[in-house]
Amino acid sequence: MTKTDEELVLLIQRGSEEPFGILMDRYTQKLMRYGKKFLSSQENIEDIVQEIFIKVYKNIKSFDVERKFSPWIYRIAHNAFVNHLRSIDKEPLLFFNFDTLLNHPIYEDPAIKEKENQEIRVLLDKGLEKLPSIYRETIILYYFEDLNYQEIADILHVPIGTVSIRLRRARLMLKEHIKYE
Amino acid sequence: MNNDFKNRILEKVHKKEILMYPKIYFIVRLILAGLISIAAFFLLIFSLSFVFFSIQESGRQFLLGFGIQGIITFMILFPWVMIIFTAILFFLLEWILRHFKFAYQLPVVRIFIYSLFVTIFASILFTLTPIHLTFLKKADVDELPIIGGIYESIHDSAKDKGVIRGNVYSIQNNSLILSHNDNDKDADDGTWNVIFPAGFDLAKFRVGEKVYVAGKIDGNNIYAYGIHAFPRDR
Repeated sequence: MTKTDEELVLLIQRGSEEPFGILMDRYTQKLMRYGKKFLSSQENIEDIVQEIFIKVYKNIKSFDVERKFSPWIYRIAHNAFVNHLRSIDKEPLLFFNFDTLLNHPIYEDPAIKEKENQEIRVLLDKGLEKLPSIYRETIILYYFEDLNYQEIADILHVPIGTVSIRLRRARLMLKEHIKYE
Repeated sequence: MNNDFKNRILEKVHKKEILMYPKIYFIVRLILAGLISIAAFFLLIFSLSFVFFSIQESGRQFLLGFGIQGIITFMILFPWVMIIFTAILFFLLEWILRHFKFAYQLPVVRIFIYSLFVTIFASILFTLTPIHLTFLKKADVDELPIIGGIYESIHDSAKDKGVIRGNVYSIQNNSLILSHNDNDKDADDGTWNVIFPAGFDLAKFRVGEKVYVAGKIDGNNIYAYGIHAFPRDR
């Protein structure tokens, strides 16, 4: 029977090495795809994904196996890519983002997500590159990595309302972009 | 390519070139972060309450009741350095807080307002304790190391800005004689003739009373635009 991520982590925490290989197999492509949102150079992405796995291994004992593993690894990945962008001066060091300032209403509905999924994926194929990075990151985590609002909020360290508003804006931008193409 | 780096990492893990941090490392780190946050919070409360205390103890709050000129002098004499230090500490704590789930889940404006409210409320409560007064008394007799100078600065002279503290020596129709001698190191001791605009009511002041005067100093004369008595216990 296939083990869950959390079960694999428990084995790693107890000293097994092999389950870490399985975790790497599961997340390498996902993190590469996530990294493409931040960087264009494939070589840089691979280097950073390696660093992410090393960091994951070093810090694995801080992970609580009662929680979901994917938001935890994406949080590490988010920090690694953002720090890399800052080191090459492509990401401003902001004290806060403007859309985290105030409350935003939350519109999370899995039924709508299911219905929109196909349409959005087509739109994403055509216009993802055109989206500003904060919207691209949110939309990748929601539609490609299948995380919910709370998990995305925990990765990005923003309120849930901010995730909701970013997704709404991203969808609108994509639709606008396709309309004018 | 991906298998390459997977194997490289697994090999390093196997050869113990990459090691897991032990659980105690994370516990110690969490405790240290907590202790630093608590220490920064207390320092923040201490510095803001010191600002409140210094304004109250020096009598500078009376300037706010002396009209526009008083307000301008109040702004000039305000402890800006301490306030800037406090603001830096506040934003540092805000930044630390936003790493915790309870804080980043809230909009920035709301967490800012909550933090500001807690900080001001705690500082006011701290100002009500006798700690600052005890430190001030120790500083006056040079028994407070490190921060003694900050406390001594509360009683620094602001004579060049036209502000004098002293005791009423005698009262005439529209003037009074004011003398000040606090036996400290600053050069604000002396005796002045304080002249008030015609019609100014000096009846409520008593000889021997400690007062706070603001005005234009010309030699030993002060052409005052405001006077306020200190509470009897000060």
